[in-house]
Amino acid sequence: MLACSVGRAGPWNVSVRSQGRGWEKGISGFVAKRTAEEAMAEKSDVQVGALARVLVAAWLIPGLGHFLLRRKGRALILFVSILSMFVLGVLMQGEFFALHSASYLRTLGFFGEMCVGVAMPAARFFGYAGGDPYFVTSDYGTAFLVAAGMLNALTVLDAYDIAMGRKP
Amino acid sequence: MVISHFTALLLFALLVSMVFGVLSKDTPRDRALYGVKVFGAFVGAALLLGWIMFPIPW
Repeated sequence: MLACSVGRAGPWNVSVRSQGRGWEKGISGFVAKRTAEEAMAEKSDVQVGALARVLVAAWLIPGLGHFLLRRKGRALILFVSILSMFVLGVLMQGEFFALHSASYLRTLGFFGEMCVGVAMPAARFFGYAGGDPYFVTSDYGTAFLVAAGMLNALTVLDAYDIAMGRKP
Repeated sequence: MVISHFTALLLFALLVSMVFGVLSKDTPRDRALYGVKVFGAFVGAALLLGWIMFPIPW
């Protein structure tokens, strides 16, 4: 009895030998190899999906990627430090940049602040539309906001390295 | 929240050095030591640059 993958297209270049059971062994070996290759492809699809989930989680909430990878201590430190930096930036009336700005640097600043994840949209949702640019500590606050985003970008890259087995 | 420039500098250095320490090294002891080194480097460099710029009139 031969195992066949019904319904799948592929290069079925099978040489049939009319020598008793020899051709059956050739076909069954070929089919077994194709089945193993398809299983590995499915497994790598699942791994890519899991990796994507970890990276998106790491971006949305600082430290969540590390938490999903079972590095809970590091996750806690990253969560506390990056969110503290963001909150301090808001308290110092830091500015929220906009996507469509007159200056390319300000647009870059928007992407920098968005790297912190859901914290920026959440702050907007709760009524913080960007601080007073004439407030005495506004510039420091803006630096804190952008730096929080940049640190979270590093955190996402670190989560990727851990997921790929390059780091402990 | 109104804080001085130096206080903002200390807070920034503290939070950045915590993250750098966690991301850069592999063991908890190495992470703590590296974090302290980075914090010291941040504050030391800021003080040094401040004194270098002090004689500049503008």
